[in-house]
Amino acid sequence: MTTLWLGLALGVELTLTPLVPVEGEPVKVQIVGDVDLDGAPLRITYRPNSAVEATDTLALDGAGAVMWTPSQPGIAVLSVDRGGATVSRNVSVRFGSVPWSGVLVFLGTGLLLFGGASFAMRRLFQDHDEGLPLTAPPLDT
Amino acid sequence: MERSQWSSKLGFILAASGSAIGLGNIVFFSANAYKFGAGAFYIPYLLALFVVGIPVLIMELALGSWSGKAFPAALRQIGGRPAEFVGWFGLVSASFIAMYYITILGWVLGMWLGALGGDLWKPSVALPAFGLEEGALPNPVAYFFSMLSSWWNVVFVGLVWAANMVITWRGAKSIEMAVKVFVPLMWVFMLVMIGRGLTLDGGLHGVALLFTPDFSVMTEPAVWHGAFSQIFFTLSLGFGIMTAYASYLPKESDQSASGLMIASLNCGFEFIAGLAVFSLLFAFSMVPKASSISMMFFVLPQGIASFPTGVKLFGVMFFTLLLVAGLSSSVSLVESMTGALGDKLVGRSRAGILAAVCGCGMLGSALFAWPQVIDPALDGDGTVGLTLVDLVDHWAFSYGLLLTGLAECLLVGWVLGPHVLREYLNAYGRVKIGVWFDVLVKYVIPLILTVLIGFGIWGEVRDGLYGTGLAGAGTPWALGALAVWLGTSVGLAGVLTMVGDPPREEVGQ
Repeated sequence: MTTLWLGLALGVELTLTPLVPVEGEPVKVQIVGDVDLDGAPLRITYRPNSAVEATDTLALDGAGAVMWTPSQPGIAVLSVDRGGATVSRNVSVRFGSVPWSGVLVFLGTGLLLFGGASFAMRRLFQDHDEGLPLTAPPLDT
Repeated sequence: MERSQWSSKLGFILAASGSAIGLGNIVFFSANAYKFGAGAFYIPYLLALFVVGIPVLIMELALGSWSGKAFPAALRQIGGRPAEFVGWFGLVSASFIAMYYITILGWVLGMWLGALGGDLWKPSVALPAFGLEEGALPNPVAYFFSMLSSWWNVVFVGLVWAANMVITWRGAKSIEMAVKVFVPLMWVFMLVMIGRGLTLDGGLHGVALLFTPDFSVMTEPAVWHGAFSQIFFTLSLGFGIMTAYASYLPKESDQSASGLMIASLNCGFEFIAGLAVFSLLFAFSMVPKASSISMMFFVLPQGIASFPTGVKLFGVMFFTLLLVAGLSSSVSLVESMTGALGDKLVGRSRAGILAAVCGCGMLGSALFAWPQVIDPALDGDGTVGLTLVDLVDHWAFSYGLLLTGLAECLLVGWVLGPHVLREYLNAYGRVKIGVWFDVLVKYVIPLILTVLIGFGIWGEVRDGLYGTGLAGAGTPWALGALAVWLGTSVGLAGVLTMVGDPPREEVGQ
């Protein structure tokens, strides 16, 4: 957040064409601003701050541009260091196709948790009309 | 002190699930899931739920119902004074957690006011205590630290303690009244947040991100450590809460079905909270950190501020959701200590005990809200209060509860015999518990908890004592926090074990 703040303050911006990156589809990354970026590395951090964080580096051309093909979906940070300043931008890389393993985990977990809750609820309220006081005498009054 | 009772099963289920569902379910679960590869986290998480979560939860509920007593007195029935000491140690550790938990709720109240008044949604505010002018830091980070460095946050903490006192005033009866409003409200607000999140551009991809596994990360021990710890904490195990709450139920209550129900509702709430949070993270490309504070006060409000419409409405709703979820958990922390002291100090009025618990708690919380700036560069936690929260949270949360849980399992497993609780559960429960319960409580869970504790200690040895590298604090603070937590927990637990013996009673079967 601070780095983006700094980037904006320096009048340097990182743009993407198309705007929404998709896994496996090339996207043009362009640094717009009055800085010399020839050969500067563009660092791509996939799933930053996670245990599955992965980084990739691409070299910018003289116009400050490079083609990037996202290798995995999720949140990624694109950043360029130049002259002690960092310009960065967070992007969300969309899934290239329906993630069926994710759909399976979603359905399985939902079924297990909410199925478990309704199973327990049926057992728990089988004999008692809800809202009525429990009939047993107090244990220790 | 007269023991109160739940007036209905629904009241008990709402109170117990309200206790389990708290700030951690909304923010910490999502932060942990993101950190450990999202979908890959779910498989160890579900395994942990069935291997550790549900058995320990059922065991704690059975203890309360079987003994008719709060945590320390219930353990005393098993192993005499040493066991009672374990119970008090857990409760004192939980009281530390209650103190800073309520401080955090005070900050939620402050942010709620900022969301309602509109200052939170400005691009930035000034931070005079840090010597920073408006625009130096973007909101909501600037608003949060501006609030944290003012005495207002101590006032907010006082207000939240007052709310806790009112809700716990009549024990189970008044708690039941509050949770009958709070818990449904929490689910409704969360469903509205999901609706908003999923309709954002890219929101569905966020959900796919949460559930799509990356199996390469599942071989990492840290993922399993994170999943098992998450289950232990999310179900409020080792706090003595479930034992205290179950002690207000008749003996013939079905504790196995109750445990299953509470665990399912708690993890089901985490499941839907994940939908809301991940859709928001993805839609606005936000990078979370494995910290509840960052997720709760910076990342998610920042996402809400980016909504095309209804920023104030959704912002107020989000902080109301946090406040309500937090209150239904904090009252259970207050009640577990009040109930335990009531069992111990026979003849004392509940009002007096509650006033003492809340008075001491309020002083502790005020310390955790201390606004003095010690880290003007904000490389660490900024103020004395937040630094103390960070340090004490580490010790009380990461070690206190796990140690209590371990000792509790050893007492039930090796002194009482898990078959005693299993037969008691099966006598009244429709969901029958098999011999697997004995094996888990006696062997498997103690082993897992020992590994978790050992893993934590190894981390301290390998990376240095937690907090020694914290900007503005350092080694004396880290050692001080450890000494205060350990010294107070052991000392106070020892004193409470030795004073005023309650009359002995025959319990159980």
